Amino acid sequence: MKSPEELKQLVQQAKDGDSTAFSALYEQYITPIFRFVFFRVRTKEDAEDLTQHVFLKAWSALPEFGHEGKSFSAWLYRIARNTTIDYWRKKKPLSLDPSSSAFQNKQDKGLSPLETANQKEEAEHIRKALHILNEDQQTILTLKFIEDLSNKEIAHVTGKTEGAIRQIQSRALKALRQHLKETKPK
Amino acid sequence: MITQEEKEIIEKLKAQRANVRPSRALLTSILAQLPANSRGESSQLFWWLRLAIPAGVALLIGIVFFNMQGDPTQVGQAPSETLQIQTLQQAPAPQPEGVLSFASLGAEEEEIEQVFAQQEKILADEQAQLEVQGKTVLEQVEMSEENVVKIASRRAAVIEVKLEELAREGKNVEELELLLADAQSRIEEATTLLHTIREDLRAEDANEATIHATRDTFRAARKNTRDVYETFRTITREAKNL
Repeated sequence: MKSPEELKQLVQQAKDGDSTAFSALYEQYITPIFRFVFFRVRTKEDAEDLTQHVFLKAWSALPEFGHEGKSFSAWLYRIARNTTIDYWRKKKPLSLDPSSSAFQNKQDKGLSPLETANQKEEAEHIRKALHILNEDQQTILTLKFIEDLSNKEIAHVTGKTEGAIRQIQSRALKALRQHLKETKPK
Repeated sequence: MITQEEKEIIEKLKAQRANVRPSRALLTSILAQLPANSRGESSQLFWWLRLAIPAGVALLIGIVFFNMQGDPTQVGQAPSETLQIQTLQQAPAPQPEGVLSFASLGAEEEEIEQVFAQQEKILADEQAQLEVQGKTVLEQVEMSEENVVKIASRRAAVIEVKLEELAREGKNVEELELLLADAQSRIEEATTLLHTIREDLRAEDANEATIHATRDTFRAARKNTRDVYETFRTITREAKNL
């Protein structure tokens, strides 16, 4: 994990066209950005394609990025969010691909096949449930609880006030609770 | 207040943080796609292009507008429609004192509905001629729709001020604030959709399929705007009962 100062320096170097510095930023942010995208789209393959697209877009747009009050990660999440909006706009919504998996290899975590299967099922359940929410609600819940961003950081990503974020978050949790209650296996 | 069930949902969401990882292939694939140390030079070389493109696009839009006003053969009976859209674009912002009156809201809605009706006609016309001319029609439609979104945003802003006033007077406006936040997010969603329409139409590879997809997106944005006004009406009604 790099310090904020190191990251700032890498961003500056990448802005100046240093692709090695950008590679270091890529390694730093690839997992959270992929995860954010993964919960917003249909398949792991789509998530990987879009994640690549996000970073290529970021590379092209980096000269326009300014540090004024905004973090690089918030800027990346904003690109990721716009990319997923574009994805849903261009694609006909279909059901999620149940075979899609983005889990760590079980050997990596030392989990039994049963534990891995349970985790996979749980994640798919959550992912499907998130898709019943509107775009703002999905973005805010994913950033808040899966990506662990503060309301201030989410405000930078979404362009909303922190008060509005709290309201949307509360409403999204209620909607999710209702949905999970209705779809709970009997 | 978060309920126990909601706390459990939050824990489930947090658990996903450790579970989901990209593949190893993704970790390395992008690195090969970056041109080594080349962007800096090209961005310096083409700085003038970055200035010229937006200026050119703005000029093109101006020409399209000018031509559509002057040529009645374009877009069927376009001149009167264009005139009405322009009238809307010049419409003054809603006055704060009238923000919670049904009369001012109704007048604004009627104005917006007129634009929607005109847009329906324009779209119907465009459906009959999916050529380059149709593309300019959609640009026109998109610009007028964007204007509708701007009006809705202004209205949301003044309603927000009014709700703050009511809250200061000790009225419970929590539910109305939630409704307003919902309306604001719909406006933002519509704005995003309209922005993508513009980008798509201006793309060099725009074709009939693009226009077709654009029409659907436009309708989604229009529906959002209508929902926003439905919410505004509810807020207005509820605020009067406080």
